[in-house]
Amino acid sequence: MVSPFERTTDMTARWKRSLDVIGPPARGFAEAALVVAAATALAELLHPAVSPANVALLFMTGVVLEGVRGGFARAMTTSLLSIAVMSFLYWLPRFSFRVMHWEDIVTLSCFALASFLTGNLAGRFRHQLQQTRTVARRNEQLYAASRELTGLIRREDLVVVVRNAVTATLHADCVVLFAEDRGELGPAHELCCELDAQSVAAARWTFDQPDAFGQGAEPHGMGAWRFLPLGHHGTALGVLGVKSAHLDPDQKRLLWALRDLATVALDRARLADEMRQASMLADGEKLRSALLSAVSHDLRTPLAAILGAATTLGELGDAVSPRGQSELLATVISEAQRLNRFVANLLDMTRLEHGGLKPRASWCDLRDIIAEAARGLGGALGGRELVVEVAADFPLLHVDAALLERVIENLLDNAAKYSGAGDPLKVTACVHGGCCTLRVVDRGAGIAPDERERVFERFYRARDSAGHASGTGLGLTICRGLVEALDGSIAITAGADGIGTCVEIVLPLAAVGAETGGR
Amino acid sequence: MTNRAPKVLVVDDEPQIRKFLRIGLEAQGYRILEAVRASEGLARCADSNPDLVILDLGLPDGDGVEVIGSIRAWSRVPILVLSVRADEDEKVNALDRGASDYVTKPFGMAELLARVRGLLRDRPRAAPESAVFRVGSVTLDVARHRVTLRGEPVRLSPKEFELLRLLMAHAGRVITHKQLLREVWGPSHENDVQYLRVFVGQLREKLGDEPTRPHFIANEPGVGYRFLESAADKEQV
Repeated sequence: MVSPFERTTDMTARWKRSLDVIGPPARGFAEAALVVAAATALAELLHPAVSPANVALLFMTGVVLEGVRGGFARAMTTSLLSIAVMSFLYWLPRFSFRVMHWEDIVTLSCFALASFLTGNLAGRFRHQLQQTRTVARRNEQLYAASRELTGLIRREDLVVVVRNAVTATLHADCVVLFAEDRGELGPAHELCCELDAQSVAAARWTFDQPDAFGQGAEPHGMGAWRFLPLGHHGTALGVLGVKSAHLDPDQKRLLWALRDLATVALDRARLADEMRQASMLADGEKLRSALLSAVSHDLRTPLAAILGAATTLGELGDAVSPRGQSELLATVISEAQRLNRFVANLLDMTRLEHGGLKPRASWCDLRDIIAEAARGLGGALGGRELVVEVAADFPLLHVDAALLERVIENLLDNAAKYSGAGDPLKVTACVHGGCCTLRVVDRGAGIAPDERERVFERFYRARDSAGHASGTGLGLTICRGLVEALDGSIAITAGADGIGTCVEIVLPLAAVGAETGGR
Repeated sequence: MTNRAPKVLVVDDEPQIRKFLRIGLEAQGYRILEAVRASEGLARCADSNPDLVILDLGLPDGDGVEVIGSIRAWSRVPILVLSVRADEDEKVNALDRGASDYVTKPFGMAELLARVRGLLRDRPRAAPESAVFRVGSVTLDVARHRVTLRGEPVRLSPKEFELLRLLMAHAGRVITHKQLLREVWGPSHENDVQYLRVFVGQLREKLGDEPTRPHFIANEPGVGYRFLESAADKEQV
């Protein structure tokens, strides 16, 4: 079943389609005829109530309506049709086009004059309305494009927005070409269609001669494409092309407006890029100078101790007591180990920075790793007791043992540096929720809560630490880098009873026990 | 070890450096006092009256140069500065504030002992103006205004003589450009290092000294000059 309403809309649509087929002039005429027919019908309906003289007002309404809708020509068409209908139906003699009475001649003349004036006014009004609408629509499109462009700093995104805006406002294909490294022009996006040789030459000329284009100048091009340079005087960044051989003044203005927007946006992108590079350079510079001062102190201090101890042994020889000699030898060894740790840290830092760190996991016993780390520290623990609390049935870990050892070594080194001579150090490990939690705890000065995250930053050293011991401020940064390379996390809390520092490492327990033979 | 043995106060925060200084200096018969921090160093210096202070410029709790200033406020004890910094300005600053000499880390025991000896030997000299200085084969008689090299007289201009007198009076110690210029040319010429270059060149020529391998007047780059007094000194140049 088809409802009457649906049938009506269906018919309206079909009628509109048939109007489309007959073309705009005929369609205008048909609409005018329809309005006149409607006015006639209304006049017939109200016939007893409305005198024939006032019927003219009904028709005049139709004329104004058509003038507003279709402009001056339509108003005149409606007016002529109305006069014909009125003279035929309402003026005496009826059913003839002859006009007998003076009164009717006056009415006819006034009607014709009034409809000429109103039609003219209505037509102008309509034209202005249309223009206002067009301008408003284009402004809106420009505004939307500029708003979209403000937020973007990537050149690729800018190109997309500019192209969309040009296509939407000018209804034509658009290309953006940028200068490439060797001064060649290259498309900044996938081309929708190939540019012919003539257009390429036109684009090239536009790019080479940006100063030939004054503000609002004619876009350059002979074939299907027209081009404008992107960028300010003397410094073309690229060209903007639109596939439209005929651009009316409005479209030209629009194209220029879009070009200006694109230029500003591109400039901003370029500046942002330069700023980013400058700040990267500054960062690198800061890193270099910090590294230099760190190296000059932390590399030279152990070196000074080694050289001093060795020259004392060499030059004073037996003047030094046997106990003194063995102490000097111990100094040489422990300081060489310290140097070695420092160099290893620098290398780790470099590898972390350049992403050259690839963990090689294998099954290993955590206690072995801790023991190895403690051994590597040698004298740096200063004879402090190291308590290791790892259960006998602690599962094997599938990690890169060397990396984890470096982490524990750094943490124990820190713990020893920042705690009293007799304070014990503790390493504990437990399994919880599919993760292995490893804690390195000391009973030293501790780290203030607001600094517990900052100490992981490069070259950052806790406020009280400067007075304690030498350090680069790299150890914890490296630890975090290494732990993250192992897919784990590292954080600092207060030690037991709020005394000292506890560094907590959480590592995922990948498939624990799967290959351990049912330990 | 007798009570007459010179007391040396070592102020350094690095335990390993303190350790080898203690062992090495004790082996040479010095008595050693140790301090880790600037405040502690000042206190030990005040209460034990050492004959020499060895001071690290990079102390954790204070600027080493400030420590020198504090000590100089009430004591003329020689101060030997240790610095890991290759920064000449830092050394010059320390010397201008009253430090007696410096050693740059890393250094060998021989170099340090030479400096220590040089500084401790300074002590008994009472009136350098009336003295006769004899260093190696060079002799300088202040009163008679006469210089001899291996017994042969050397003719020097008054400025050259004054320059040599200053250098020899502090033989083994570095003297900054500024100190030399102020003493010989006057305070208004403190920064005219080119005078020094010319006069030191002339002195070296008259003493038959080779600038590339000096036997007498060694250049301390960016800091000053030092009159060498022993083989140990020469090795370190």
